[in-house]
Amino acid sequence: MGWKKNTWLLSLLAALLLLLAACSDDSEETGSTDSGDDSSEESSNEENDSGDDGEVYTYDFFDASGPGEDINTAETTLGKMFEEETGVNFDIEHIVGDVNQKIGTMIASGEYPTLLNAEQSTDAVIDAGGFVALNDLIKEHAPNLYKMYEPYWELMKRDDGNIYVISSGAPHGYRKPANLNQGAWWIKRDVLKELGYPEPKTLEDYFNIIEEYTVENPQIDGAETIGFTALTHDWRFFALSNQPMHLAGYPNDGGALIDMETREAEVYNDKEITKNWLQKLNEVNDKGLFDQEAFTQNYDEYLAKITSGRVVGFFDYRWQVGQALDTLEEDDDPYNDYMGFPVVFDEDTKDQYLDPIGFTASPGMGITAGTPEEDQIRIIKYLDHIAKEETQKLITWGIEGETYEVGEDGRYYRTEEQIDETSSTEFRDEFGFSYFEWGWPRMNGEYEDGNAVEPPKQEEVASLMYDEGDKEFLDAYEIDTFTGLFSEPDERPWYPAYDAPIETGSEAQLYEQQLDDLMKRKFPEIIFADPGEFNAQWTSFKDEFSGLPFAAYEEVITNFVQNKAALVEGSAE
Amino acid sequence: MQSESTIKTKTMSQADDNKGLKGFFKKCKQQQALLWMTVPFVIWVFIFKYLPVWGWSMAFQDYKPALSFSDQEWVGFKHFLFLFTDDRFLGVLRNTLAQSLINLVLGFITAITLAVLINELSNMKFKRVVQTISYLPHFLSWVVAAALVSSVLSIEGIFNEILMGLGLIDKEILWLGVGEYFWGILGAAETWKNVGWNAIIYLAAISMIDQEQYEAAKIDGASRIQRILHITIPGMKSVIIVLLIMNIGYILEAGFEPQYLLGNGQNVEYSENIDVFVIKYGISMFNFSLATAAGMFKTVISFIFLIAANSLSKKMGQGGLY
Repeated sequence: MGWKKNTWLLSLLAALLLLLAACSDDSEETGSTDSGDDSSEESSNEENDSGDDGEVYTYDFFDASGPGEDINTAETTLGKMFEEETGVNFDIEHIVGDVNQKIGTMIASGEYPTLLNAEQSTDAVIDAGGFVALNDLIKEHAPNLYKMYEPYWELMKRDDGNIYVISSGAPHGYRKPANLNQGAWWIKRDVLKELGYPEPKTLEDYFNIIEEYTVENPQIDGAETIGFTALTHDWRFFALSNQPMHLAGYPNDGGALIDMETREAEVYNDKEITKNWLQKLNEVNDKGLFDQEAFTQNYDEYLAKITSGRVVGFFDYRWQVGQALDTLEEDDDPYNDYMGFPVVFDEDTKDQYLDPIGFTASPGMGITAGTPEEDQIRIIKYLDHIAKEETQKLITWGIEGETYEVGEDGRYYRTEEQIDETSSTEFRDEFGFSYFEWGWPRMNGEYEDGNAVEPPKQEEVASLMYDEGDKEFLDAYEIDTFTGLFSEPDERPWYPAYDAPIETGSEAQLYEQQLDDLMKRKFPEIIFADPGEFNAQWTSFKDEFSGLPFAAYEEVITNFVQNKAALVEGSAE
Repeated sequence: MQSESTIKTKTMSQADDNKGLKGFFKKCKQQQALLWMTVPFVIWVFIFKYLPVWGWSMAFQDYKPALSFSDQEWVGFKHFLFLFTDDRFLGVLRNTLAQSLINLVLGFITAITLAVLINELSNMKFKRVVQTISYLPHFLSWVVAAALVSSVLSIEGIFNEILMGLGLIDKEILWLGVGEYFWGILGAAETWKNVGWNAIIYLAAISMIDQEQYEAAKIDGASRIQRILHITIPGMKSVIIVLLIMNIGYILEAGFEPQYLLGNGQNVEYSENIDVFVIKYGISMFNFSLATAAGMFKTVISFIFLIAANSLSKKMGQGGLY
């Protein structure tokens, strides 16, 4: 009996040791990624061009730019085509949860995926030496990529003269977008219809519309009407704190206003514009129009609330609220949709909600340190393939005859069926638009033949994209597209200022975190305060704000703005 | 954590029982099965608890992951100074202690009560059902549990509805929007989630009590309450004390997930504890040195509490961990 017991125990122990051994083996492997095997195989047939030897190389690509389905690129139509051309495919893994934490863990462990888009943590990865320099790699092996990014070559360089990441969207000419993708003040279409299509120009107008409707309709579909809600969860707090900047007629430059003349950066969180904005919200709250859960709801709850149709209005960036608005657009009710307006403080202010032309150097994708040179070359060749003009057309327009047609004059267009097909999520996933359309090397604006890079910016496509419900509103406001109400962006060569690298451990970085904490703590108090106490609350916020190292932040942004503007204007001459 | 501790105390008591080297080896041979069972845990403790101590050196550097150890910049106590001079740190410390104490007290009382109550049940089926239901929430991730808590407590949530229906409040309250309520909410949520799980170890302790004692007490005419007070509770005493001392050692580990997930701008003054602070100003800002400094601080405090609780318990004649 005793002997039996011991063997059982020993085998358990053996199993455990095996498990431990397996674990340690595994961690060694992840260090060099699965390409380790490939490179040794490759050395045996070095003469062959990597694309032609029939061998397929799989690399990991971690994409922190947003959530999504994890997939191997070869499972999509586009990815399969690229694999056939280059012999490379990628296992894409998307971010779940907080970017900084995820990337922070990568930095701490030193274990990176081969290809990485670190989103707002890009600077930290560069500081930690996590990316390899791409300058020579691109010049030697990627002529198409170089051609596409050449106008921005100097802007892509970091202080040390190296290029670490390739961002998506190199502007080549400007096209005003037909549909909003940026910030706007949204109002439910049902509300607009009921009130006779009013057009809110100022913040005053906007909240008057909300008040009028909410008073008459205290309930929507049996649920209490929410006048105005806001997104404040976690790092998305800027959806509330950015508004004074937009209301004052500035585009999204992040945490500072950039003076058009002097090109000096100035923080605005303690200025009159922020006070006016908060005072308005305080007043709106007092009237019972402000969502009491605005500061406790998370991102999902916020999206669910908007999708439910109970919200009269809100401010957000279209890309951030896209999930909710797309869902509403897909259903049959054209009135349970939202329409965006360029609202400003006073009528004389020119709105600047549409993004100016600008090259954003970061975030972007980069090859991580520790990747063997053969693999670096293979990856950069893959990116180079994507940068070819015909491939660019593939990832934006698709396949001629299937997802678009070419008119006799060389103009590209889509039939109504093609528009329906290419806007369905299922098709976009399967074809690969969802994965390749953005994030990879990409140009913006126009192709050399004059066609728009993005189909929705091509008039032939845009005019067909609207259904009866859309047309009712376009006609009522006498516009051709939903960006018709928005002003053209002014020239801001530094745009966007939030692209400025903020050094890890610097005062400017500390300021950003402390400001975020301070606003998250004080803004709810200010907004929910009794109107009589507003001034006292505001003063107390301002006092605390004055203790933050904002000057350090302004200095970093000003330097960035002036350097970048000089580079852009220098290369234009 | 708890299983590890029981095994450790076991090996310690073995060693105590054996005087002399010869006796020790003899005992070892006799109990080799038990010793082998501890091996994985000793390895575990070494790898995860002792090796990382080397990383403490980071607390005195401006640590940059890209640089090798010799290239790091040494900055002395800079990060500790930042920690202790930050205005918010006192508040953060207060929250940590308060949340922890509430959890400790509530956790002990509810788990012991539940264990005693379950033990008194005679209907086996009902007993099992109660036990299963009470420990199920333990297996929920806090992400899910926090979503449940916040929807129950939302303005249109069931909690407000019940209170309104009973006429206890005349206007819905945004429970998570009022800082003062946060400690209570957290305590209740923690209790709900963990009470069944925590009761298991006490049930085990109760089952060790000799049944003859109960029979003898019954014959002597002790009532049910008297049997609980004079047999069950004293019988669990040693387990209670060991757990109490260990948990006091974890006094600064007030938890992280529920505070992080339920916390928001409106209750931050009561929800933010050391772990949340470290995430915000350490990990998220890639300031690993600060995170390490805070971790060291926690360890030192835990040590002090552990030793104090242990010697206090010994002084009171209850025997300690060591």
